[in-house]
Amino acid sequence: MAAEREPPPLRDGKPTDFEELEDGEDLFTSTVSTLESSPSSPEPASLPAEDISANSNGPKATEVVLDDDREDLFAEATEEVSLDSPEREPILSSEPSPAVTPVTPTTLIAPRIESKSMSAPVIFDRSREEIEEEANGDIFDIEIGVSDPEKVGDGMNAYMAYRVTTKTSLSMFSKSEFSVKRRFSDFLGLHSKLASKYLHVGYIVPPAPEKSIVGMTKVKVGKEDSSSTEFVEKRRAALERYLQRTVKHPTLLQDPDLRQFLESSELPRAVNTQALSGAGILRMVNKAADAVNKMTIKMNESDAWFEEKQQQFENLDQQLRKLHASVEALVCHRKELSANTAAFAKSAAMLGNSEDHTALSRALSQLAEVEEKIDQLHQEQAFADFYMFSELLSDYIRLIAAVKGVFDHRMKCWQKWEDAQITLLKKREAEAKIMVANKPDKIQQAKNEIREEIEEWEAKVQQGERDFEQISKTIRKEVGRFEKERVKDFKTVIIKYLESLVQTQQQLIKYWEAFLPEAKAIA
Amino acid sequence: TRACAGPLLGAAMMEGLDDGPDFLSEEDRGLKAINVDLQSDAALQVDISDALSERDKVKFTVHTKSSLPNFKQNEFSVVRQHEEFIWLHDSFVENEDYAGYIIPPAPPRPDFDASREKLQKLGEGEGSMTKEEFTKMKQELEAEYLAIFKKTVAMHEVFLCRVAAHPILRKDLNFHVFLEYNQDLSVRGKNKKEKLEDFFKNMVKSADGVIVSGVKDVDDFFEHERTFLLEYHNRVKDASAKSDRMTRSHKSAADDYNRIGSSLYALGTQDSTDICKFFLKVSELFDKTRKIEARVSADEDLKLSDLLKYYLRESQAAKDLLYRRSRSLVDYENANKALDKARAKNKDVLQAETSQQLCCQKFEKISESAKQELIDFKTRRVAAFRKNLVELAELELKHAKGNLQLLQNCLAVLNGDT
Repeated sequence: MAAEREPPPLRDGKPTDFEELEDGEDLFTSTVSTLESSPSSPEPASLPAEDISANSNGPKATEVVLDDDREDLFAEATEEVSLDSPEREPILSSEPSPAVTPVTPTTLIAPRIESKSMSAPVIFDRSREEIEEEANGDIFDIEIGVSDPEKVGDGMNAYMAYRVTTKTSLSMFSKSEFSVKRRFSDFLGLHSKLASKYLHVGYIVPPAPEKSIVGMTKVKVGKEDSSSTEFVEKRRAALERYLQRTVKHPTLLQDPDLRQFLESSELPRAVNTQALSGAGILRMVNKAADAVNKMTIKMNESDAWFEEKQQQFENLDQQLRKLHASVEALVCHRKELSANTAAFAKSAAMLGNSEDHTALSRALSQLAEVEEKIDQLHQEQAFADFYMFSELLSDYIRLIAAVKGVFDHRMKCWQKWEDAQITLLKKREAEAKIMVANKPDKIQQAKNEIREEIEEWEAKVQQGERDFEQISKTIRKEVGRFEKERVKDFKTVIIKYLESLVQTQQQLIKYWEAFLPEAKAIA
Repeated sequence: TRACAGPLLGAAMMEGLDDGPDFLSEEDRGLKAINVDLQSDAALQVDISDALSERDKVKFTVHTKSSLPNFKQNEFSVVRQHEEFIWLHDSFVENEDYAGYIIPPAPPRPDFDASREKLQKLGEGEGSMTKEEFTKMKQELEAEYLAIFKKTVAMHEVFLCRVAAHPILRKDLNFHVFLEYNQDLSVRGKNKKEKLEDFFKNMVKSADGVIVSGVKDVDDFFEHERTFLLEYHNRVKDASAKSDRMTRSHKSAADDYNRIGSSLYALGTQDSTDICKFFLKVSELFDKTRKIEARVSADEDLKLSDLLKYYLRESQAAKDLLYRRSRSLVDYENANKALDKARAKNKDVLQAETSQQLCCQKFEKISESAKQELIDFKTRRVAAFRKNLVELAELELKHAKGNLQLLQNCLAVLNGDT
């Protein structure tokens, strides 16, 4: 093991040095862009120089440890099992260990980074509080729009570029209105970065929209039909909602990666977001391993609040899924109704044509026109059914998965603490044994070693406890915020949806009122 | 018309009968004169005063009020089943004397299969849904069953009313027997052999129809009618099918509202936040709006789909009339040719002359009554369409306004709370 490190205290929210792989439900999110591919990433050796500019702690630090992350994927799977291997520590950096534990060259530099970055949080905390205040006082002024989907390139390498426009009066942005072009993998990259930084400390990071290989292929291949336009529109709306949710989160809004995403004209490409990439598959493996581990963690829940909340979210999840299924059925039937109404309209027109009584013939043609207009109405209503109601529900189903993930992280955190305690106990026992051993020549050396180890593990136990308390605290706050948002969201969207229903009825009244005198005029 | 669907659904069904008085009375009013503009006169009034659904059969109570001397009493009732209506219809069709009339189309067979199947499926799936959902769906299906039941009653009634309103057919002896004879007519359903014969008859008819309708008619009126009816019949068929599909989609969407309402209710009762009240209110809205949507679908079915279906059958009956006329024209022409031949050979001339005269008379008689029948058909059709389209528009308006009010009330409450 290398030099002794003094882990700085766990700071509230600014996880500069955390690189645990996010454990969210989003299978295909990217890991941070590779060192090799991003031209702006620094050499490991030059890290400290970059780091002196405190504000850019975030992206750079995480970029550095990417290589480790990939090794860590496998490491983590086995980590829970073999705890007694402190030598492997520097490489097993996937836990939220406060120290930067990158590849060996920087280990020596690590302490310097820490001392430098310790001053940074002060500034951050202040501005974050500032933003939180603004959020509470409803002066939370930032609006994101995603628009103008544009196909770039041709064939299988083509992609859709979306315009992301930000309007804000917040001081942390350099301008009050600006826009950039982003592609889907950029959004996934953003989510991946945020998730890797914040999920494991208990923040509910909004999940990014899902990938769709089929949908995207159609677009790439250049199918200009209504289903691919629909797909693009669905995606655009989902991306917009995703960003809006993300910026609403006071801590995430603060994140430099988010700001870079919104502001900078050039963004390093996130390559590991491809569904079938090596990293993608590794993630799948990891996730499976995680699932197994989850089942074996038996936590002594001392706080009933968490158990209660977990149960509530479980129930909510089930109910939302059921409701979502019904709403999807409604969308489907409404579209069917629209198609059948259009078919009937044509048929009625034909009937009107062949009817030889003039007035009746005219009335039937009018009926056909009314039905055609009603078909249009049905289409619009189906649109509202989907984009307002159905998508709200599917967004929340995925959000709740993120919430569940956060609870799981807490369990893992507890497990780590627990494991540290067990290890410490073992070390103490070992020490006791050494004390009573009858080999005086070895005893001093062994005593020192074991002393060192015990101190190390004591620190770990303390850290574990602190981490656990911190994540518990964060989760409580996050859940409170989430529930408030959820209530607001649902109320707003459902009211909007009901208003769409109102409009439909009003239009129906107009159409039938116009038709009635026509029908009466049949003589 | 009181409709009473008996033991098939058990006691629970009876409870459902009192549900939604609006629904019943609208139908009652509408159905009798559903598709025909009939003046009922004191001389002969027929209606179906009661009906009972028993396992596979429906028993109709046919009630007659008449001042005609033909009947023993002034008012009387008998019980008839569907097969007996078919027997009556077929006896008209087969009667040569009525060749020149549009025979009122036979009522369709009562078909509860689909409804019965759905009820059975519901029973099987009882375990997989909440008690509340089950009750809701059961009520729905029962209402559906009731609606089908009332429709079949109406169809049979309309047939009888049409016959009773026809100046010639109302005098038919079989009709009187049908109305009065209070024993079973023992009209067994056609057995296989007869059904097969029917099948061939129909095939020949339609083959014939193709040949016959190729002949251009000398008479402009009939020529026009033929062209018109052929096209009209096809288009009405298409419109009827499309209307059916449209109303069924409407019903599916209404059913979805039902499920959405239930899910929202569950959410409302389980949520830990103050959004509970909100969900419950919206759930209520969906339940209510669903009832309205179901009515819209039912009314469209009644005023549009049924109208079109009826005129599909009537236009077929009109086509049949034209076919019979064409047939008799062909016979007349053949008789003419035979007469010429006979005169040329000077053999059996008298016989040929008689035959030719008969054919001529038959043809002229048919043509005369057919003309009137077709004119009446148009009048009836226009009146029926007018009535139903007006009622359709009025009902659509009524329901849309009802829906609108529901929605606006709900929104007012929800906005007030938040």
